[in-house]
Amino acid sequence: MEKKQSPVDENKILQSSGLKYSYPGQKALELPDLSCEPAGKLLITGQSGSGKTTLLHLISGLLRIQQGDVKLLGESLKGMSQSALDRFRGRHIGLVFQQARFISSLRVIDNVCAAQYFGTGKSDRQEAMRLLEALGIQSKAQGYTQGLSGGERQRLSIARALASKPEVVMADEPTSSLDDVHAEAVYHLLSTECSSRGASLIVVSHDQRLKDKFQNVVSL
Amino acid sequence: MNIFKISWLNILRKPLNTALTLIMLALGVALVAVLIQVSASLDEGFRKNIRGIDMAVGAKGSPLQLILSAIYHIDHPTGNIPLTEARELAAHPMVKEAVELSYGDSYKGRRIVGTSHRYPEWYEVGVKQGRLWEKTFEATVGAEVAQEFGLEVGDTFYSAHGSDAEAEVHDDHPFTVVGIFEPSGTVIDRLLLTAQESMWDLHADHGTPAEADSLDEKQITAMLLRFKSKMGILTLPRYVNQQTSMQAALPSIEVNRLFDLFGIGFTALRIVAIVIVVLGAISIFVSMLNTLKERSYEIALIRSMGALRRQVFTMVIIEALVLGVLGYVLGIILAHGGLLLLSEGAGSRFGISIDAFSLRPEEIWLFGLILGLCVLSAVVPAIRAVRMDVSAVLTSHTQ
Repeated sequence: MEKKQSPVDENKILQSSGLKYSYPGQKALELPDLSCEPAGKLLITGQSGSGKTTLLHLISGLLRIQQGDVKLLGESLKGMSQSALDRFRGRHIGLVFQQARFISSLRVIDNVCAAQYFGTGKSDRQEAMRLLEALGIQSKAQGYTQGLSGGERQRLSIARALASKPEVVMADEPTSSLDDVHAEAVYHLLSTECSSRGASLIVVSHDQRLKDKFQNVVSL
Repeated sequence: MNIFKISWLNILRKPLNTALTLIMLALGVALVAVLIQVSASLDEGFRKNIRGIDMAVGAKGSPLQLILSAIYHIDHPTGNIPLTEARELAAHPMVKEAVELSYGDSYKGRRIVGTSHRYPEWYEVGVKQGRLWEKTFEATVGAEVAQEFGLEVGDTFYSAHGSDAEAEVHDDHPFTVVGIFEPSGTVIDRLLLTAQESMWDLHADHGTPAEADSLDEKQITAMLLRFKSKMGILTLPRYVNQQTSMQAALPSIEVNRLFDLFGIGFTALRIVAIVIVVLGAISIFVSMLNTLKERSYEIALIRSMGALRRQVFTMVIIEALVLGVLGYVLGIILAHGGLLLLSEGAGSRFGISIDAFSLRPEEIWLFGLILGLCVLSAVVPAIRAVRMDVSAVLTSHTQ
């Protein structure tokens, strides 16, 4: 609580320090310190196996912190209980994964509504529809996710990440499996949708094409 | 959007699994519900016809046969007893009322009983049409018999010796129908009642020595007794069995004995039904564990969206509960639909009535039992879903 009050922290939306993580039976990964401004952009690069995804899962509260600390929006993730972490993540963080996968029994729009519901406790269909419109897939709203093309799936996964109006969007290899044209398009969408909503964007990727698009780059 | 909706859609996603589980649950529930209804109706039917009758006396033989023939009229008589001896017993200070019965003849398989007006009084059955018999060879017939053979007031019929439909017909003495009883759901529905003298006259003409005795040595088939106090049950049966040529049987004891016999069959069927229900629950357990693998990524996804562990737990439990409710409702519909068909036949054969449109308390308990079983079978899958390592599942699917 004392740390939260310090002036340095208040300017940063994300700060991590001294993070170390070890999977059972493996050597501990030493992870670099991170920091990101509100509405800023941060790229974390590194070879596969270097701990990028582990780092992303630590700063998004998907993994419990073993050593070091992460402060997100001025709050320390270390001391949070599992359900506090879940609530915090749902409320403040939007996640985009490399493979755009969804709840297959739900319609396209309901996948967005589900993210709203689990993130904020209630869903707003009109708001969900506006998001689909912004990403150009409103015509697919009533269909099922199995009927979407690869590009549409990426757009939907971005819409889902933005559904609960998060302060931070975190993307894990959002472009790695895409060709140049689509990689550029997905990056552009992520970047513009985040900045138009005032959300920070943190991307974890080994994709070299993204390197020159970020000023703030951390390598593992 | 809510957890219930997601649970519901998950159930619909696997229609074959769901159908299999529902069929097992519904069949089990249906079988249990039918057993509950039939055994309760049988029980009620049998007890309803006892009507405060404390004891039946008849010729020596099997006490169960005496009860089945004298009270329920679904078995052959044990023989005849002397009227004088029966009347002596009826005058015993512990006896409140007695009804004498003479039976053995029938009309198209339905039993003709010579008795007094007190007999329908005991069963509180009134006359719907016409009147009670007054003279010999007048008969007042039960509602079901009248309906079955189209008998109306003023019709005549001949009795047959014995109770088979093809038995020898007494074609010299026609009976006249003077009245029809109202339907009551009791044994009266299935009988044709007449004056006791009719039976004596009928068989006196025949000249068979056993049945055509002189006035002093008239015989009847059985006598039903009500006692002044229940104390009679302790002393009178022993008195009758030891001091007279007659046999006494207590309907409550014989009916309990009968139900003990039925009970074995019911218990066996009940075990079969419970096995089916348990299989249904195991089917929920297995199919949930199986789909949990396929669903692990989706569960990890909703956790990454902020779903709490207890929300995931609730979601899995709700799925099981919905299956349980559907299985129960289907089973009850199946059972009661079947009972509706069955009640037509069983009602007339055993004198029991099944109300297919009402639930018995045991069926409500069954609902709780089914829900409990379903929740139980979902607990382990739900705990697994909750304990899932979200990070690992998300990682393994991205590589």
